[in-house]
Amino acid sequence: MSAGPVEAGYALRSISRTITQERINAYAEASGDFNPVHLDEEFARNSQFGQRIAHGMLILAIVAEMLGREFPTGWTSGGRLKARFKAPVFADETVGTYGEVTDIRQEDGGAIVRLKVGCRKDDGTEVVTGEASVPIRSPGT
Amino acid sequence: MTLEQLRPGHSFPEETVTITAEQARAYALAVGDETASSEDSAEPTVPPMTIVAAGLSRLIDRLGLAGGTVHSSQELVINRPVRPGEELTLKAVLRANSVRRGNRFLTVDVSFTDSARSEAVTSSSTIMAGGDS
Repeated sequence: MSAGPVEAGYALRSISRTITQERINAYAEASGDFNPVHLDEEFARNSQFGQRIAHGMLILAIVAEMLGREFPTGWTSGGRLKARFKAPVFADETVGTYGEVTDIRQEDGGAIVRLKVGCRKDDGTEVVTGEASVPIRSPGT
Repeated sequence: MTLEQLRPGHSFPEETVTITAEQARAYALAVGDETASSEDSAEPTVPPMTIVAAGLSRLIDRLGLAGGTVHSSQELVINRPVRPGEELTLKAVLRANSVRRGNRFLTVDVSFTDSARSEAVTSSSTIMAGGDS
């Protein structure tokens, strides 16, 4: 994406995804994170959460996917993300990402786009909040 | 060494991380990212979060953290795309180790360097290890 269509206030296309226990199990296998708070029903019942929760990185991966779709080159060549995990996501809850350009700083050969990003549940609960920046090149550079 | 004995600046032994095409595909399927499966691309790449996630899980193993550990925050920088099968060296350094409201928080900086010793991806994870003992 060139710097052309992006301006402060531009909203990224949201990604909505339901986090099933099957998805959590698959994520554990794929990432190697077998923390029982994600997988073991009895363990999780006795935890501070009362039930199994999704891996924070599973939710953050959806935020990253949003950035990668919007900025396919810049995200993997200088993309930065800083995020806080604000609330647990339980099995079968649906989350949706958001992203909004807050600032664009022109640089030689392109610009740095800064964004406010995050993810929230259908009821509005914020589960991930953060900031990102992505370099974009001017056409022809 | 217990968690409370670890001091900021502590370096963990280096290890290698290689994400195969199959692992990248499994990760993309797990998170539901259909766009990440770029096997048909002329230059397939690994979803960057796959690398960060692999580093985090190894870190949790290395620290010997018990179940119930909670991920508090995450930072990452993707300097360049990584190819499936590319060998990276994981270097991890403890940046902070503190107790707040009875919970121990550990922040670890991780870099993934390539064969040219250039950082492909860097990350920083803060983990709440639960009640301090």
